Amino acid sequence: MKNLHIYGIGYLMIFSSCYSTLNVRVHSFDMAKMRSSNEYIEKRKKAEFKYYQALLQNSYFDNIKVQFNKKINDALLKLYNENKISDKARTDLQSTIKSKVDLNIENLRASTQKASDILESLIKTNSDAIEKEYNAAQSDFEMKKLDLLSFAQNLGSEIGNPNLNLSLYNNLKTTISAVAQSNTYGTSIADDDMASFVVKAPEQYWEKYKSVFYTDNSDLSKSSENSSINITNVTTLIGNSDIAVKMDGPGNFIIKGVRLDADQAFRTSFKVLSQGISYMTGASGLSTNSAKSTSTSTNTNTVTQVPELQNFNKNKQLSGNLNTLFQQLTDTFLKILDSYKKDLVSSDNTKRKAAIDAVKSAYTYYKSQLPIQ
Amino acid sequence: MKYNIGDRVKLNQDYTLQNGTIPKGTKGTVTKVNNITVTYNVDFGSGQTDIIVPESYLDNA
Repeated sequence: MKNLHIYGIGYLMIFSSCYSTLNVRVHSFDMAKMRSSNEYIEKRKKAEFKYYQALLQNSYFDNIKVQFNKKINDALLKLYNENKISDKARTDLQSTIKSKVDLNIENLRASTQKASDILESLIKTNSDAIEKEYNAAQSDFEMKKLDLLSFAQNLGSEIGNPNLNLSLYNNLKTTISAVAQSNTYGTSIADDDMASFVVKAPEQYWEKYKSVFYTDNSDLSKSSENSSINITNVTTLIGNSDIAVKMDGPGNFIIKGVRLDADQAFRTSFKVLSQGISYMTGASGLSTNSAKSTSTSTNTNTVTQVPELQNFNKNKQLSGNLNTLFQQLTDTFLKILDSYKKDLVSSDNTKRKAAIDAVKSAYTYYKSQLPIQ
Repeated sequence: MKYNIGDRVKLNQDYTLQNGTIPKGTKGTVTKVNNITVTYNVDFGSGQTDIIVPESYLDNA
């Protein structure tokens, strides 16, 4: 029976604090397969549609026209003030340029409207014929954007290089493909519909291909092997293992580091050891403090039946004192840290090393004074 | 566009700038062709360089 107790305590010590194991596996998700999935294609089409609508609504093109023409008129007035152009030529040019600017922007607006309309019908019907029509409309839209960019650049150089790269206009420099891709994934994991797709994706999205897919893409069947790109195993005999996983962007996770900390484990180990000894001695029939308190539990006094109430006031006072002490210690440590702030980032290695040593010593002392949890 | 860089041109009418008028018949050299605005940068000499002149104001010199 005693042997059983001893084994029990041994296992308790091992499994409660002194031994920990951590196993992190990072599997690769098949993005190419995801991009060809219906879910992704649907989401992407909707993101593109949203982009067209954002351009068509909110007077986007009208705002560009107004800002464009204002900048052009300002540039022509500047040329006139610099004695580079006559007043009559300036006013003539204003109207000539305005009609050209308006024409370019209207062409882009019409192209945007057309692409948007066809895409809307593609989303509803999912027809191959309409898809072809949409691809042509999308190419035309990109062409019209390039026309406008080129027009603005050339016009700028002809009238004294005014800054025609308006903020609204700059939005057009991004291709719809790039815009749709970023909108498809959302700006955070909360509004990223594809995050839920990844979570619910079937096994085949996480498995390796059977064949060499980049030379023979006719066989894209999957093996049963997971496509792991990183496996991290940490086994700790004494101490805690922490692993830091960082999300660089939606769907992009990296392992920043693994940390072993024996400090807390030792504290907890001694606590468990103490409990273990008490339990063992109690089981052996020897008297201990805790055994004493158990033996008095038959007392009819209601306060002593609840040990926490017996020393309530004393413990409350002690807790208050500890709290004050903890606050003072924390303040002192932070003041020390603050006083070495400049030296810690100093380019002088000697100063920096001295500051690090001083802060380390302060932290060691600070930690040693904290109440054991 | 009728003229190229380096072509000699002359004004077919007075060209009034803020600080004075370049008289009709003044000759100059085309230094830049502006396709969108259909104008030319013309060097008339005497410090009057890079003057922007619409094509309709110019004739061959």
